[in-house]
Amino acid sequence: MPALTKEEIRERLQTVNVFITPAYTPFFAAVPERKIRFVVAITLFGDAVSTREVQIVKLEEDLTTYTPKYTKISLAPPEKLQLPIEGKDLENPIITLEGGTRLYGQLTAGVTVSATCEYWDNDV
Amino acid sequence: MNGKGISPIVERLLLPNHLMALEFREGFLFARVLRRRMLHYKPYSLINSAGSVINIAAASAQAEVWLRDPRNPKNDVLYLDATTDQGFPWLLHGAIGWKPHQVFVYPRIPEGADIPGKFPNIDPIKPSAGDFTGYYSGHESPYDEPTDFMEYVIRPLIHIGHELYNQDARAHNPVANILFALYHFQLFKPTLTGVGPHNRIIRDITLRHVPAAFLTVGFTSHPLDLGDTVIKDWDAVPIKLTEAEALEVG
Repeated sequence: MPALTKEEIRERLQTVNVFITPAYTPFFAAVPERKIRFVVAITLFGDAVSTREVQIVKLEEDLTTYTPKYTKISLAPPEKLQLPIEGKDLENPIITLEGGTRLYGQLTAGVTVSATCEYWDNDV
Repeated sequence: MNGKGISPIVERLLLPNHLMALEFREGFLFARVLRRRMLHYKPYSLINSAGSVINIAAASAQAEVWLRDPRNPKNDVLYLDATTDQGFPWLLHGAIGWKPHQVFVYPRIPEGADIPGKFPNIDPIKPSAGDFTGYYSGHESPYDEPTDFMEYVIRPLIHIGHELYNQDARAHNPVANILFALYHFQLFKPTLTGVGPHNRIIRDITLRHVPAAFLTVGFTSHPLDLGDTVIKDWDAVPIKLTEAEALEVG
């Protein structure tokens, strides 16, 4: 079978929005074991009140190890910040999540920050 | 797809005057294509018996359906309602491309029968559970280029059924590219005792002395039967390959 076509990747693109809080906030449930999840972009929206600091962490499959992926992301009140800064590319993910892993956002100060994560899986 | 034994279906379709051996449960028939008509239904949006578009919810199954004509849902697009047409036997040969590729398609040939393409030593396939075997999808048979991953050879008077399962996290209406050739053909009639006019060509096809397509009507481990009506109307004499090889040619 051929590799996935660009059209198939586009068809698989998922978008999820969460409100990141000071607690570890999951973007989605654990990645199913048979899949690899490719995160292609995370967009953070300032809360229009104050500058906030956000971090993005991966919870490894052992469910105890939190691996920081992006830390000390300073987000001005009116700011919309997209990772990667150079612009998203469906075929060049910024984070790769194996089966059993999870992705969290965490706010180091403030109440909530809106965040949108775009990803696709290597299998249906 | 090429190089791994899976080809675009257009590379498998026959032209007028091409030879073919058709395998049925009763044996082989040998024939020559006299006419070929290309048929496609693209885009074909899956509908139910009421003619309503089927939108399969995320992670949900669709019970068996025919591919019905949306302009008259009583009609099955892949059904030949007479054994012959204009005096000739006929059949459909082709494939179906699907999109989106997250929808798994489980064909049943004929309708209600076992799902083809199963590993011989595994339990029956459950499309209702979205089993990861026994299906094909737009990945194996892309919408824009249907392949012979699932090659359909459909004789008259049988319906083909399809069950589907949507593996995606979103609802989808499956859309198909139904791409077939309709063959009108001349059957070669073997003469089992003595020399007959078609014995040589039948034997040559069997022994691969001449190029010919071998097509299984139905599916490999379970070829369809011709049935009494078709045998009578086609005046068909299905024979075993060993009988074909032994035909007297003078």
